[in-house]
Amino acid sequence: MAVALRDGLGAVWQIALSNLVFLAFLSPKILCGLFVASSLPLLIPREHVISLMGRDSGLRGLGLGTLAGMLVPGGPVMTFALAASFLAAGASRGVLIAFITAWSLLGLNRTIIWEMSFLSTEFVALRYLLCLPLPILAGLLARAVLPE
Amino acid sequence: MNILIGTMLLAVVAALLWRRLDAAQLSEAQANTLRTLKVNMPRLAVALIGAGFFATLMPADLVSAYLGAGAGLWAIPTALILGMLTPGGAFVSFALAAAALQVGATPPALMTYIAAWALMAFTKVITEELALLGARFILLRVAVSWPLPLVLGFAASALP
Repeated sequence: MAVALRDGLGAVWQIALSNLVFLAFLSPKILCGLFVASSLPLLIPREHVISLMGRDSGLRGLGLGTLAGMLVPGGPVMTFALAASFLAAGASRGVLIAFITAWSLLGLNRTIIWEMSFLSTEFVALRYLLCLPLPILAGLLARAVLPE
Repeated sequence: MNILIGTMLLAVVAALLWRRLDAAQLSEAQANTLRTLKVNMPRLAVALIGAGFFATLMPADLVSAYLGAGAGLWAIPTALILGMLTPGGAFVSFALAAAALQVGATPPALMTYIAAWALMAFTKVITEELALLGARFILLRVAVSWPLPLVLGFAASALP
């Protein structure tokens, strides 16, 4: 509405149209991404992950949590539900914080589908590299603040 | 170009997974994909167009004053707050960051903004995360997470 008032209806249509064209370009990518998100959980052996993420898992557990966060392709509901089920099954809080931090900052699905669609490769690469240590850092901080 | 690379990458992963799944798993995965697609495509269209409008309306002078080179290191904490206040999923912060870059915001400020939104977007934390993980866990996570976007922003600023 504000755009229509300021720039006229023509601008509104132009923006709507250009974004719909953009969406059409993106849709094969979205389709593939969604398929990956739907099929990956069917292939991950859950018990295996839990045994590796317990409270005695140390730095290796934090590293695994980070890796899992990078690879888990779903949205917030799926990811938080997964984290909650791990928590209930005895995974440590530090590992889950590393997992959620990695999913937030380094999730490959989101970076490939969305971030690279909007921002330059240099920007994305630099942000990604600088964020790599942060999930481990968050996990260590969590363990220091509230020993498990 | 980036879009093409990403599409090809994901197509390869999808093809690999397709071959690994057995028939029952495949039909389950296909049904999930279709269901998610049906729910999300209209939302995506609306959100993309909305982000487009927002980017057009973005006040260039304010963005460059608070997130530009002139704001110095203050741009980093400002970006942290803005990121936490930005609602929406998937790509909203990327669309806004791309628009802000064009009107003079600095890359370190926008990295902080994206990280703050990804880690602690207020709407996401109080809806989905609170419901699934509980207040105690979230308090701990936010307590250790809020400095991370600042670390990222200052580290990026320190680079030549």
